[in-house]
Amino acid sequence: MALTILCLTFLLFLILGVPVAFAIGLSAVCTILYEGLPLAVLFQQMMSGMNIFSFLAIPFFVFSGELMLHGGIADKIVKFSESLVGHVRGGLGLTNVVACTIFGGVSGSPVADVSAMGAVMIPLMKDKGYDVDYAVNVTTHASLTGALMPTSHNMIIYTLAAGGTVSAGALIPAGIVPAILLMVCCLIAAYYVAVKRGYPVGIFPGWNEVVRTFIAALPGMLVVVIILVGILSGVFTATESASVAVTYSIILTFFLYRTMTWEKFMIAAAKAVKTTGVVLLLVGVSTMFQYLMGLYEVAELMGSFLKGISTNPIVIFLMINILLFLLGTFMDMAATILICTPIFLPVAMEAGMHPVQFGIVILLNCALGLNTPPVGTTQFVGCAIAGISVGQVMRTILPFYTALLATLLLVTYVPAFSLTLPRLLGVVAG
Amino acid sequence: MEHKNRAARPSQSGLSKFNALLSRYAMYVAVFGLLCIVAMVVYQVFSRYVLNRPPTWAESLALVFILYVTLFGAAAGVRDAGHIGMESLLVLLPEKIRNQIELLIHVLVIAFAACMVYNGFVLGMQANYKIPNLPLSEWVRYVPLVLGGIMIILFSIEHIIAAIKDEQVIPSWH
Repeated sequence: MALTILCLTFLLFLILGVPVAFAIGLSAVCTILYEGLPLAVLFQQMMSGMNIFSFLAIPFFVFSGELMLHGGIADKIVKFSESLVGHVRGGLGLTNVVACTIFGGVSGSPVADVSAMGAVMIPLMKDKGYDVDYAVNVTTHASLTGALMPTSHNMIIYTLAAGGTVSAGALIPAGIVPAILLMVCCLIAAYYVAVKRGYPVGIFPGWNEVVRTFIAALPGMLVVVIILVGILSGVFTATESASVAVTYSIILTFFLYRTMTWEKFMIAAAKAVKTTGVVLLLVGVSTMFQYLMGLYEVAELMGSFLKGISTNPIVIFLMINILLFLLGTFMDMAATILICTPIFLPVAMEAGMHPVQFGIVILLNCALGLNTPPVGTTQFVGCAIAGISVGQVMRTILPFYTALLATLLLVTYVPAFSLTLPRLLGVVAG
Repeated sequence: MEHKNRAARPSQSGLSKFNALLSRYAMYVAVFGLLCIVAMVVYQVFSRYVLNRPPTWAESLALVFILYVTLFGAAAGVRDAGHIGMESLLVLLPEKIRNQIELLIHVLVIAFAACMVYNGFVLGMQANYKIPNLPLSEWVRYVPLVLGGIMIILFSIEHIIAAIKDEQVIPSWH
């Protein structure tokens, strides 16, 4: 009965449109009131949930992403990508995919990625005669790589939600190959549509230009290297490497590129604070929610429910993917990860999936949700920049959606994509 | 939760003026706090490798600061409609009902914030012991819960007044 109250109130608040963090918190409060337990316990859970040192990586990664977004690094990355692939048919579409992938690595956030790249690429593509819906779809899909990159704060959120079964050091290298896979799938989709619509071919600017633009963009891209090397060599923890990334971003944008102003810095810092507030509040209230879900053994119930339908791992993984996708379309990324991980991770592990691989699967599922209404944050930002409606974009989304789904299925059913690199680096046993 | 398309005048009530200042200064405090946290963690790395003597206080203090940053940021998010909720299903409803649901959402947010304030106060009063490694009492952790809750209540009331008068709250930060 208590569990029914928890689920029903949560769904009711969510459908009403209560912001997710408050919907989660309120449903937990309603359940505790029904049980007649003291509310203070719940808020103690919430505060201790927000107060763990490794969580500090979340505001740091968000902050460094915002600094990179407002610090004018986007242009340099676009120029480098254009020199690389701009000459192929539909070159600006391919440029967009490569640039989004690189900036995704720099910012670690699909939303920051689509804001930065969309602002540069969408008007540019419009100018050069590309259709707006194409420009938006390319940007919103390619920018999803940001969620899988070493600078992704959503990875940290997953390691928290997984409750100690996964270390950030193991998860961070695991995202790189899937991110590249997603990039390749997006490139194929972008090229396919470009050929079908007969977009123009450009001229290769020569290797000198490639090297010149690469050197200009390199200091920005180095942030990924710093984090990876720092964590893998054991010099830094994830949190410490994130703090170094912020410091590096500040030095880079203020002193090296000299594109940062105090005004932009305050905008970036304020945005980082607000996102931190939203995300860490979610982490806090989800601790309440997880406490109750643990109490009512939700994971066990879900496990026996799924196993009741089938014991075949292939079917179980498919069902988990569908459920994750459905939940991911209604909630934002952090909330989906925080709520779904404790429910589905035990089932997936029992069916033979490595927790690191499951992390990449859940991130990809949430990425799908970012491009699907009703709560499609990335898609919404892309449409806002281009000034067209979500409906217009949805009409031609299919090739790009297929690319995303192909990546998801490959990562779900071929563990090697996510596990080979961490195994080679020795951060995952086996 | 905010209907941007409503052609509304900016909210000019006294509460709105007060809240604009409040959210602006809360944000300054939070930005300062975030910069301090970055500095503390960087200092921790620096002193471990260069001074060979990691400070015991940096980690503990950073964890106190993050609570202020989080809850002040979350409150500012309520004023500037930064929290993500679903509104697509409500678009289908007639405008009158939609406006009433919008009010209900603000009331629900206030209810949760009131729980934050009350329980933060109760927990803070009980927490008279010292935080390890810091010359601070444990109750400083619960202060942001109370302050954040109060701000969320004030900001939500502002939104309710603005919605009734068909006005719009102008965010203090974009």
